[in-house]
Amino acid sequence: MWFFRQFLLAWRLLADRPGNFALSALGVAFAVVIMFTELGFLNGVTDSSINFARRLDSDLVVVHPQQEHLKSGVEFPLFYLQQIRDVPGVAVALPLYTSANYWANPQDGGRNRVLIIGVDLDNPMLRVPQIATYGAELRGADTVLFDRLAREELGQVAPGTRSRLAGRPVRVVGLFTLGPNFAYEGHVLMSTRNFMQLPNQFAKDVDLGLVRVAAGEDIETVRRRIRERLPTQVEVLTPREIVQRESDVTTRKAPVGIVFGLGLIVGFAIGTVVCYQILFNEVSDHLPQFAMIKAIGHLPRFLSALVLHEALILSLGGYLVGFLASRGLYALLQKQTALLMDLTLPRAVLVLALTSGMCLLAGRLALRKVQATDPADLF
Amino acid sequence: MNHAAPREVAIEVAGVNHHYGKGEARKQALFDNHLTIHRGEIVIMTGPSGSGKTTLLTLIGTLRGVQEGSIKVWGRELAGLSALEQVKMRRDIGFIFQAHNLLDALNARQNVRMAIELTDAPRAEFDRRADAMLDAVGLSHRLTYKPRNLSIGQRQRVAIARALVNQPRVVLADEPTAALDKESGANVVALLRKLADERGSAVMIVTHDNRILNVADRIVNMVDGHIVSDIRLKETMAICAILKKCAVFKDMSPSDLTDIAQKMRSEDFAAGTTIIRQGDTGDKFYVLAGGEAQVVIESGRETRGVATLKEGSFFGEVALLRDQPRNATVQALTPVSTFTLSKENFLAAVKAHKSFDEQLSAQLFHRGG
Repeated sequence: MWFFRQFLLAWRLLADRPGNFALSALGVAFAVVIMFTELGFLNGVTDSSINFARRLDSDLVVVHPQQEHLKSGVEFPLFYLQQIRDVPGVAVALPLYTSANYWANPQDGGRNRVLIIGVDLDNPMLRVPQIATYGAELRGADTVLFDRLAREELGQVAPGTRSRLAGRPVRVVGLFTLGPNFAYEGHVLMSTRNFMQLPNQFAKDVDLGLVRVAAGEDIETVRRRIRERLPTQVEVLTPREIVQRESDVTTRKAPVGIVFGLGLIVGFAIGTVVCYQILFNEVSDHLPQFAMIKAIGHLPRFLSALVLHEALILSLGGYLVGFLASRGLYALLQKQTALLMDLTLPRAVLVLALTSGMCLLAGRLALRKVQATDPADLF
Repeated sequence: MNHAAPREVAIEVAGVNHHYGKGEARKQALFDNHLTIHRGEIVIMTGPSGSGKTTLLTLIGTLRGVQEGSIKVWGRELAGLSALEQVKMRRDIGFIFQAHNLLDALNARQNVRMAIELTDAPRAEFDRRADAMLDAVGLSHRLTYKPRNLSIGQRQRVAIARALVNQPRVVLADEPTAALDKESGANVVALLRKLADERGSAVMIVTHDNRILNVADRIVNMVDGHIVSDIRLKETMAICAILKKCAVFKDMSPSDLTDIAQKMRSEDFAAGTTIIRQGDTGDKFYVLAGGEAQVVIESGRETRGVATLKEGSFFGEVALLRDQPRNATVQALTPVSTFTLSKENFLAAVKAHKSFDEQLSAQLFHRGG
């Protein structure tokens, strides 16, 4: 009840000057949009950077111990995989080949960097259902599956389209769904056999080893056995760890993640300053009235609660406007950058928390002025 | 006039000094002030701006901490209260500020409720009490108006309603009627009088509005941080009315009369006591404010009652004017209350007004020697 009374009073103070309140809410909304945009980019980059890793469908993934992320191109000898096949509990251990190269736009011939993935057609261990659908076609020479979410610069591509990949003529037999990221404009998928036809590709140099454990075997146990067999030669991770590693590399080490993370903090800081300015003016305008509230015997915490409620209402109003604006902006950005801009519930809640946080922080700062008012000055 | 019943003390100011600023800029605003206000008393404070009356008001209202001396409000010492105790103390004080400082986001009723919310009143009562109080200040037709839609006088009345709605036992007001027309001013003053009479609240009003002086029981004048006069208004008026009948003072202006009245001291006598004795040196002038006394002249062995003095009479001036011994004895027939003026003050007042001879002859003429 007490809370409600404070809230109502705070609302009346703000609503008494609707023009002012609308402007203030717009100021907060501005900060909300900045935060949403930065968070959107941050997540877009992260989401995009793990788009390939998330498709891995093996139980374990074997990589070179010095490989920091999937784009580093550090390979290990196929020979190790053959040894891993002998480890008890391992059912399958197959190589997955990747290579960055250029795709020629079939319409204008422009070259664009894509990631080429060479898979075992019988057991791809990738969550790409189209491999099975187009299995027969992919066994033919110079055939590929093309990424339907690849950037527009890669041209209009449909089944039957012919173009050049790494300088070799290829034919698109079907489309699959993956999307671009900051490293690649799109993905192209083909059989291991066709992959080996590309320049400078050797079957003995493996990028990723995909391991399936035998039915009933514990994945951790098998992983320990592989590590015992090849303690220094390889690193064994789960697909989940690979995804985490990719995400970490993007957000913590790659400049893009740092830039947008910093942007988020800057948005928060701008919001706090804007909010402080608004609340400071609000408080200054009401100072004699607040002093009167103190004079007639309301406790200091009554005023504190009043100002913090004002801050809260301001943040909610600003958030609402900012959220709607950001939704429109996300749609626009996704279209423009082909980055995955997902406005998920946890992200919406995060920005709401940040917005409330910045307004309350600003309110806390503005409070100092309120607490310093001397009701004795009223006489 | 009855001085017998001692009344409960509402506000007691003793030895209060107050300073503003620090170090070199430190300036004393109040100097050793003493003031006692009783239950049900309305005290008007006057004095030039900067005389310290507002400072004294804020000290009594616990809006400032007491630095030196003691202030007790209904027996509670204010010196040394914590900030929180000060705030709680203020809940029993009705403040009427010169600048009304209503919350402009709230309507009249909501503004008054801001004060009611500080009490334990049941929520259901809030609106009823607010409306009743606003009705009492003549604003029942403006309950839902916001301050910006009210005239300055109406705003002031809302502020007064807010100050009085909890029937505070102390009311501190700064120019409460400055923004009001004659009728609303009188109305507000009547409300204050009612609160003082019915609830026994002590009311202090800082004002220069002489239209409301008559509501006061006392008028306190401050100059340069000192209380220079403390006039009991009704007594003073009664004394002035009596003085007016005395030929010596007859032509004096009201302010001169008030000055003299202020210098008079109250003296009471039991029935049968002798107030002045024939043959003694005259040292005082008496005004009889209550009771009856007999004038007796002794000549030789014979004692002769020459007159009976009733309330509203005066005596003792002839000996002072002539610088002679008393020419008669005055005895109290009933319990008598008098106000006395010392010979020194009496002569000073007389000299300041007219030439001494003129006074003397006029007075002697009237008394027939």
